[in-house]
Amino acid sequence: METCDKYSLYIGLNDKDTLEQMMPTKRFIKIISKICKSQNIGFSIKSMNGGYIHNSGIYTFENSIELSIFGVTKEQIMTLAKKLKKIFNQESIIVIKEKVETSFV
Amino acid sequence: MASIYNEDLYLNGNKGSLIEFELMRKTRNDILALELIGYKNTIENYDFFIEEAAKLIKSLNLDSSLAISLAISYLIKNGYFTYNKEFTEDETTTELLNREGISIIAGEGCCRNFSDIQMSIMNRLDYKTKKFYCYHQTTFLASPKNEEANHVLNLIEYKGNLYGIDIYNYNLLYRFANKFSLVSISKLTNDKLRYKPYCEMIRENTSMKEIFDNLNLFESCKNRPFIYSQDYEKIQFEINKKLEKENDRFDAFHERTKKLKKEIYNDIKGK
Repeated sequence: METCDKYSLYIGLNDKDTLEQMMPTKRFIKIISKICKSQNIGFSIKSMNGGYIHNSGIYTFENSIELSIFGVTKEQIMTLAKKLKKIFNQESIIVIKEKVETSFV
Repeated sequence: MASIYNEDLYLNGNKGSLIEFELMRKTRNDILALELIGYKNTIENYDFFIEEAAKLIKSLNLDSSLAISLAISYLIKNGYFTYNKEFTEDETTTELLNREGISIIAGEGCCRNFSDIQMSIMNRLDYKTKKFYCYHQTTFLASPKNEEANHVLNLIEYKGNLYGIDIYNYNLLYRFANKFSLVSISKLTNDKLRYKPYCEMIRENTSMKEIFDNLNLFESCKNRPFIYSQDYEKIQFEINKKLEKENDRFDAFHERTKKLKKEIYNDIKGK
């Protein structure tokens, strides 16, 4: 087993201004996939449901995406996260970093 | 087995390939639209920078698309377009599909970033140029027909012929050997660049009719006289000499646009 960094990005799909999802989840997934490919980042993606409290205090239920990425630099992840935040018009994207043990079989 | 990238298929109307390309184009167009909103100010700043760079190049009184391309290459590689004057030729993480040249400002970039910034500046100066998406073939063992595009450079007009100029790779100059292939004007290399129309169709929204027009144009170029390698070397030497004398002017440009470049850098790096 080897130790490496795992990053998870949690991305809500509702627009921060309209509080609505502006396109189908499938399209979000395709866009994220293309951006990861163009930045040469391997990834796994999972679609799920979530709740989020906006800065204004409004609570919304929304579809979310969890993006899991291994073995990249913190700088690559932050650039990616900030790009996704900008183009999906999000208030924030949660980035989680964990040390994990991995083995390729 | 033939791949969807095989031009024998899609140029003859193969539905599987065309449907796949349409899906790729749709996702690309989605990203383009989202970037235009999310990066509105960054894109405006970049366009302003391009205008400034075009003015700088115009002030050099260069008389051909070839000389201008060499000047753009010189300015990039010497860091004048980069916020901190350092430049690394590499795959980039800071790209915007709307303005692929923007990575150059952040100090990094590969062929598509070079080709994009070159095209933007040349268009601003009213010089015709066009991106040539291709498969860079260095061996003759495999058929390039099935391969994905792996390179892009710009086509420029120079003295009645069309050339590919690769400002990312040592300013290599290519001429058309047939409607699909560019070959180096130098006899020292056997590299071939195989046109990949599908990539242009997806990335530039080029129609099938325009692709066939391109192929006819490229075919017509193969019999036109072309520049000899030694003459091109002489041009490069003279232009470089001229550019080196202008370093003070370039330094002043770098200083003048520093704040703008830093803003662009911070935006795309997400600082």
